[in-house]
Amino acid sequence: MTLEPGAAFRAQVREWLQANTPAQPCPPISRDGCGQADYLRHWQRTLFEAGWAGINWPVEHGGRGLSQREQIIWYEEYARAGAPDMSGLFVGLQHAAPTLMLRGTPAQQAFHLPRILSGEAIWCQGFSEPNAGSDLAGISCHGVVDGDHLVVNGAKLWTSFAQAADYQELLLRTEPGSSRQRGLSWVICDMRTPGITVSPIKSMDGEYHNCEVHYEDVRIPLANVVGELGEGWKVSMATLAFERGTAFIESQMRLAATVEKLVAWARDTVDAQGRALVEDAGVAGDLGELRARAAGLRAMTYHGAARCQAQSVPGPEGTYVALMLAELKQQVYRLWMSLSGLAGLQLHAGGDNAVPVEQYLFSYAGTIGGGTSEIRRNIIAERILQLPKHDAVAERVA
Amino acid sequence: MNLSLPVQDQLDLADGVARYLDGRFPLARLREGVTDATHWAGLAELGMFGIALPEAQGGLGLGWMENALACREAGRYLLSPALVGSVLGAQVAAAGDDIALRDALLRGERRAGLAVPLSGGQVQLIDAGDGLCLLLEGDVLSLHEAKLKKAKVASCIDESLQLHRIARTELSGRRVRNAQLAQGAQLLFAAMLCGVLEQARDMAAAYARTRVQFGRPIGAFQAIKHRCADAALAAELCWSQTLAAVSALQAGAADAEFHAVSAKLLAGEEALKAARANIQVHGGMGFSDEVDAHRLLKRAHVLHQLPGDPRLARSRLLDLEMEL
Repeated sequence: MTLEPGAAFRAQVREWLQANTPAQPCPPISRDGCGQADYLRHWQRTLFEAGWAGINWPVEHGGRGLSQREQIIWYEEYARAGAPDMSGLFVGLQHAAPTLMLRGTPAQQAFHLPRILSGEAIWCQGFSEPNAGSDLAGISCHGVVDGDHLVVNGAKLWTSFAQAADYQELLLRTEPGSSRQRGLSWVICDMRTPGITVSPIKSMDGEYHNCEVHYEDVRIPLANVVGELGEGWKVSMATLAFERGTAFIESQMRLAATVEKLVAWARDTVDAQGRALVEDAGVAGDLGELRARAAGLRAMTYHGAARCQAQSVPGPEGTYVALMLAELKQQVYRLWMSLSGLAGLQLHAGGDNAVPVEQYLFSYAGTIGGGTSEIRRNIIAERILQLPKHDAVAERVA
Repeated sequence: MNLSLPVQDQLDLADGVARYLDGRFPLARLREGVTDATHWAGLAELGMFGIALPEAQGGLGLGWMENALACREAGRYLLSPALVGSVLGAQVAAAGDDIALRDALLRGERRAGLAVPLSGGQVQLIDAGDGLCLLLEGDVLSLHEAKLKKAKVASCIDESLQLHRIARTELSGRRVRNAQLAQGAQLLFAAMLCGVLEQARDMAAAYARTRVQFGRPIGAFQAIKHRCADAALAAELCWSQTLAAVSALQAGAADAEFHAVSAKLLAGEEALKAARANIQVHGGMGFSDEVDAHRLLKRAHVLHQLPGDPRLARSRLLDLEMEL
C-alpha cells in the first residue's frame, strides 16, 4: 500500500503544530491594535524560523518552492490544530506579496517580500473610499507627480488594521481629470510618512477592525509605484483575483473545523427537557447538511486549485469560493445562535462550551468586505455566464 | 480530502456520450411523448450500462469517474433514472452470476427501474415498466422482478416516467451486500442531478442573455443576474463535491460514504433550487408546458427522492465518518 502523496510532509506539519501552537489565542483588535500586532509578528516570526512560512512561495523570494498541495496540507493541519487566526497578516501575505511577485521591481521584491514573510512588516489595503465602496472605480484620493515623488491628498475608508500596519497597498488617481478605471496607480505607502492620519472605527463586534485614513500632502517616492503609473486598475484586479482564489484556503479550512465544533457542541448541550440538541431530528438534519456544505466548499476549493495550477493568476472562478465561504460562515453561526437560546446573548462567556457570539457578529463582515456578495454575484454572472453588464449609469439617469 | 480532475480520455468519453444523446435523446423528445425505452438499446452501443464492469464481464472496464461523467451528461438530457438502475442492476446480476440477466441489461434488452420502500410493506417503483427494479437499503442492493399486474399504477409528476406501487412481498430477486456499490448509487444520482442543474443554469442564462424587456436583455438586471449566479455557484459546488466523492470511492477512503451522500444531498437540493430559478427567469414562458423548464424541476423532484429519502440522508450525514 502506498502512502498518500505528501503523507510524510503532513506528519511533520502535524507534529510541529502539536508542539508549537500557542496556548493563548490571538487577542482581539483594540483601538491601537498593538496587542494583536505584537502577537501576529511574533507568531509569524516563529513560523518563518521553523520553515513554515511561504511553503509554496518560489525559492528566489525566500519561500520553500513546494507545490500548492503542500500548502493546502499546511492549512488543513493548521485548522485542525486550532492554530491562531492570521487574518491580520492576510493583506501582506495573500495580497501584497503575490502582487509584488507578479508586478513588482526586483528592488521592491528584495525589500518587501522578506519583511512580509518574516512577520516584520504588517500591511493594510487602501482601496475603498467614502465614495468608492462597491463602486471601486469611483476612487478620488489622488497623487500628483512632483519631481520623483507623488504628493497624495484624500481619504481611504474601511482600511483593515491600518492602526498597526507598516505599509499599505494604496490605489490612487494619478492622472488628473481621468475617470473610472483609467489613470489609477497602485503604490506602496509607508504608513509612517508625515501627513497620514489614521482613525480607528469601532465595529459591531466591539473590535476596531477598520480605519479611516487621511492623507495631507503625503510624499511617496515614484519608486514605490508597482507596475506602470496609470495601470493601477490592472494591478489591483490581479490582487483581487488572488484574494478571491486560493487565498481563502486557510479560512475555509477553519470553517470546516468550526462546523465540527458546532456539531460537538450540539451533542454536549441539552435542552430544557434534558435532551441533547442533536436528538431533535430537525437539528440533526440541519447540522448534517452543514457538514455536507462545508465539504462541498472544500471540494470546490480543491477543484479550483487543481484547475488553476497551470495558470499564474486565478480566473474569475475564485469568486465562487469567496462568495460561498462568506455566506456559509454566516449560515453556520446563525444556526449556532438559533440553537443557543439565551446563552447566545452573553458576550465573552469563555469556557470550552461557550457560544462564539463574537464570531457570529464578525461574520457579518464577510459578505461586505473585499467585495459584497452582490458584487460577487455580478462578477459570476458577467464574467462566467456572459450576461450583459449591469448598466449602473443608465439606471441612475433613469 | 483528495480530488482528482477527469483526464483527457475521460472527458472525450463524456463528449462522445453528449454528442450521442444530443442526436438521439434531445429534450424535444419529451414534448413529443417519446419514452426513453424506445431508443434504450442504442445506449448499449455506447457501453453506457457496463462502464465500470470488467471487460471479462462484458463491460468497458473503466471506473467511477467515467460512470459519473456519463450520468452527468445523461442528467442534462433528462435520461430516465432507469439508467442508474440498469448500471447497478448489471453489477448486481454479475455479482450473483446471473449471466443472462447481466447481458440482457448490458445489451439494453432489459432495463431496471428503481424501487423505494414505503411504509406499510409497500414499495414505490419508478420507471420500472419492464418489471425489473433495483432496491437499495443500507449497504444492500437487490434486483427484483416485480409482478406489475399486481401493482397499482399512478401518474408521475414527471410525465415521462411511470409510477407503480406494489406490495414488498411481490418482489423477488437477488441481493448483494456491497458498500462500494451502495455509495456508487449515491454518486451516480448525484452526477445525474449535476447534469439537471447545469441544464437549468444554461437555460436560464441563455434566456437572460436574449430576452429583451425595458429596452435591454433581462440579464442586465441584478435580480435576474443574481439568480443565474446562484445557479452557477451551485453547479460548481455540486460537481466539485461529486468529484470528491469519486476520488474517495476510487481510493476506498474511510469517508467515501460521507462524500457520496453529501454529493447526492447537495445536488438534489441545489438542482431543485436552480430549476425553480430557471422557471422564474423565463417568466410566463417558464410556466408554460411548451418550454422545458418545468421538466427540469419535475425530474429534480424525482431524482431528489432516489435512491432514498433525502430527509434521512440529512441526519445520517451527522453521524458518518469524515476526515477533516
